[in-house]
Amino acid sequence: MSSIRCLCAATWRRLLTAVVAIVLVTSISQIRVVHADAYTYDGTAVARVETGVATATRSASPEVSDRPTRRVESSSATWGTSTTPGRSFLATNNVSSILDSLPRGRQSNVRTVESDADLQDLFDLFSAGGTPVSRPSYDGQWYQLEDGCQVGIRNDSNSGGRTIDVRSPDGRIWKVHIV
Amino acid sequence: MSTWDDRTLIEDLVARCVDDWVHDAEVWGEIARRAELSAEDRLPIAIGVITFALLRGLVIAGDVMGGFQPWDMSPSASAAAIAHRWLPLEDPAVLPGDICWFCNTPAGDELGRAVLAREAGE
Repeated sequence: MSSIRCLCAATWRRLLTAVVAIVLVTSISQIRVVHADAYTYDGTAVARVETGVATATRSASPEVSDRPTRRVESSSATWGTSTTPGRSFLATNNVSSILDSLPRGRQSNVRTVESDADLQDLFDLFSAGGTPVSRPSYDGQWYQLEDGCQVGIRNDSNSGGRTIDVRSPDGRIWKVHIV
Repeated sequence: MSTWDDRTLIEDLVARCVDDWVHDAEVWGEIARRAELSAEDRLPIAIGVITFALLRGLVIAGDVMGGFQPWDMSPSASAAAIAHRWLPLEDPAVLPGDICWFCNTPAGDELGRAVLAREAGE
């Protein structure tokens, strides 16, 4: 009888150990994902994950009501250098990498989003931590970022709706339109 | 298959104007995209492209404030005004709208749409 009790206790200990191991492995894998510390845009959602904390997630579908709370940190984009001719500042980080991942328009410097809400989220992401700049000749808001990049959100465009204007430190220009 | 890089600078300007008003810095930026040039070399090219497009009647210059507001002056006066504004700047790498914006004329729009159709394989 006592040997049966011992067997049961050992089985329970093994079972408990296995459960703890599964929980630990799951937690570690989640931490590794959150540690990516980058902006991402997969065509349907804009997100930024920061070390230890997921900070910005937004579904592109307006009908989704259970969106996580959005807290945007400084974009602190860095325009890197590359030896690729004609693409000298398209390093894979922050503002430039987000622009590169967005759907392309009909022009080389045009990227697109699906809604005005997506455009505002993208602008918030870009401009967070930047300094507002008064530009009376620009019909919208304009920000100077720490890395020398400048971004603005224009109230109107010829294609209809608002537009984001981005200027990199070396003078190249992007626009983000609503499709 | 025709691509963006097959466009002439004039074609590029009017093709862009089909989708949105084009600003001074965009002309500057496209020149930067195509070739690694100093600011001193980019500026005369930018002003040359703009002057050509204005005098050929492909675009008109103006401001964007509650929509496109065309300047009330002739194409040659617009070209001169742009040069007068841009040339004295210590840093010619302007921001969008520092100097002006451009909108297609019907002729420019026709050329721009033809460029886009060519690129779409139509």
